[in-house]
Amino acid sequence: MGCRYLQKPTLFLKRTCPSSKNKEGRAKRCRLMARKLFDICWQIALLWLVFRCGVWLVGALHLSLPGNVAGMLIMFALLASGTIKPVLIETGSGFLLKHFAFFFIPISVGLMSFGDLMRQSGLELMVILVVSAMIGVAVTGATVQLLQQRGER
Amino acid sequence: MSGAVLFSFFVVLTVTSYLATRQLFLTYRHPLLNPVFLSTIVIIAVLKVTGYGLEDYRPAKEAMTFLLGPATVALALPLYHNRRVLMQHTLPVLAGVMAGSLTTMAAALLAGRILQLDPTVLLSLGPKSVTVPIAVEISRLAGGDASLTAAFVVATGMIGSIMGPSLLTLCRVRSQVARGLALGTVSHGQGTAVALLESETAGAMGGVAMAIAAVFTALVAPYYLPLFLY
Repeated sequence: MGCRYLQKPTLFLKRTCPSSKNKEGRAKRCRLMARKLFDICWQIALLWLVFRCGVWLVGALHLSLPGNVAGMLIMFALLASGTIKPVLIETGSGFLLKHFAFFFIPISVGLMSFGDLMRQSGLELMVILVVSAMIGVAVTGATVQLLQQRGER
Repeated sequence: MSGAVLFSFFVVLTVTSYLATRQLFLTYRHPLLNPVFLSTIVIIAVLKVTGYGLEDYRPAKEAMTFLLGPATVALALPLYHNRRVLMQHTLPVLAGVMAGSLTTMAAALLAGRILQLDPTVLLSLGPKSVTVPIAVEISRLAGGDASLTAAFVVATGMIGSIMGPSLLTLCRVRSQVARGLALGTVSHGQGTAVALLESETAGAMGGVAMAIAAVFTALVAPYYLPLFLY
């Protein structure tokens, strides 16, 4: 597991947080936690601003691109051009990416409104979804790995 | 129960089931213990048992998915950290994502035709591998049903993130770049989330794939999808 976004917060606490045994250590630990929470909040606000810019740009230019993807491309351009230093958004981004899967739970709950269709042709749909997804995964994975190996030779 | 109480109840329910299932996944690391899959079952079960509907859940849902936009923007950071890998593999990345997007659409529509599904359902199946906001738009333009497409997108996200990693291992795809791209191309954000659990490189490639697949599908779908209807 070399994933920085999963392990960083715990490492951060272990490495830099003073012992909670004495009073001084507890106070210092508290300050560090508050500082981190503060960082997460304003960095997410910054990400949200870039997201709104993306949505606005897509709307203004009538692009067939979702606003969030446009925002991601804007943020990448800002990072690549050096306008925003990676450290500036690291804590907030790390927090959101660590819990990225969470956002799909409320959306998935929406599946329950398709009970009738599922009872009628749920099995067929399931087969189609599974088969086509698996073909897509295999084709993409195999194509990329094959081209990569060819490129290395 | 009043609105505010119900709202906080759903938020607490969603957050606790997420944290619990995530802990379960991190402890056992089995693909079937997918946090999204398990939490969704738990929440739907609670809604059914208590007699509340989707309408009651909606305010909580809106509030909780508010940060999905900024979270997608945050994907730019791993993408930036992995820019060298991306520059090194420009051709495999583009070719892989395009091939994957086209075959998964073709497979779904052909299978749907063989099983004689309704044309509306067929068209709704087309953009199922793209992130929800753009999939809905593509579906609407093509003549499909937006909410049905959203359901297919979420289901595909779950299927790909549960079965994808095992299939890739079975096909001997070991390259982290290839694994991340495959999961991101087919299962968008959910695939990216699983790829992020494998490694940082895979996660970043998932984000790249998700972005390229979204743009590419939006561009070709209006011409590509009707080919399978006649």
